[in-house]
Amino acid sequence: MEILLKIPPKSLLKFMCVSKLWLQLISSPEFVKAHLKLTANDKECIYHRVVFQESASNFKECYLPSLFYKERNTELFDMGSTMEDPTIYTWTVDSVNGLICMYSKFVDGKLYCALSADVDKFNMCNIISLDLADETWRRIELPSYGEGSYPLTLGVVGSDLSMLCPNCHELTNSDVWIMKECGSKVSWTKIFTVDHSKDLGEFIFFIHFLYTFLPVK
Amino acid sequence: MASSSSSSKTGLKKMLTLKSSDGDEFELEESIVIQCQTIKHMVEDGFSLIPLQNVDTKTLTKIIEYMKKHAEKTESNKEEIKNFNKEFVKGSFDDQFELVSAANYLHINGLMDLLCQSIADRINNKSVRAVREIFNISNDYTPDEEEKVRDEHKWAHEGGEFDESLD
Repeated sequence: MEILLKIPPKSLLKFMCVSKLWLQLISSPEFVKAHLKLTANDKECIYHRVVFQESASNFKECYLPSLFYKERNTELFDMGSTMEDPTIYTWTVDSVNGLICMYSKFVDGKLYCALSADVDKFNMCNIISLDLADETWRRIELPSYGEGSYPLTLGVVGSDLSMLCPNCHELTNSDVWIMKECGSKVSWTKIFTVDHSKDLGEFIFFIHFLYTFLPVK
Repeated sequence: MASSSSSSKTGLKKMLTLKSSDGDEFELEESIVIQCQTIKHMVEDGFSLIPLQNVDTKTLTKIIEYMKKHAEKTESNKEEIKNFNKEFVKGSFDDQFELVSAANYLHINGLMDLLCQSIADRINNKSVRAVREIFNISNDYTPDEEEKVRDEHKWAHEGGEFDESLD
């Protein structure tokens, strides 16, 4: 056990095949917690890496110490990842405990992200949630806001999830909706419509700024 | 630390005797031996002859070598200790496993860390089959079960050849 705690995660997944006991040990919550604690508290940062996004689905990583000690060669490695479809467009915004989070919002114990239903198109008009407590995925019902073909932008207002939906035809204004979750039911309320220039691509960079001025509730 | 300060007052170094499972005795200064938590507690309980039934002479000799070197640790010989550690972990897997179980039993945390890290580094890139051999584990999966576990994390089995060697 003490030895396995010092093995990097990818190799641990490989070693699940060694025997049933190893599978049981490596997948146990106690082991995972201990492993995380050890790697997170590592003072020399030997496990810590810096991740670069090279293209939409290709990530490069390099070990942190190699950046600190410049006499060593800083090598970039391809990251092994489970993202099989290279057409999925991702924005990486944050990471926590080694999980890289692809453009998502965290509200009340759940991660929300806007996803495209069709991998060939860049139209993120579905929202899914991941409940971190029991690791269940859910697709969130959306309000009827017209034919969605332009990407949704998620935000947080107060303690609620909000989304910004561009109005399809003119693309010069967008609705801001707030979601309330009550048990398994979700309800959406449109709070206002904002006018903006046609180029929403630029506009979404201002969205965080905008939200700080929204009234809570 | 109370006992070492009292021994320095008298000017005499307090000696302890460690006895291996083969019956060999090793006399050492208390200040060296108290790196080991298990022995430290026995010393505090008043023991001066310490029988170690789970540690054979070969392993105990190595462990004493480690404790002696690490008792000399200062700010200025870090590099020397580092090189010593590097040499120390060069043995066969079986020898390393003996040392791990002794270090675990004796609660020598620094040694435990050193050995586990070195074994982990050595097996990291090994194949599943090689790891089974090294740890002497028999495969209790049926071929179907093993395939299923492998399929769940396919990507962990990709990315170049894994090392099949057993050393």
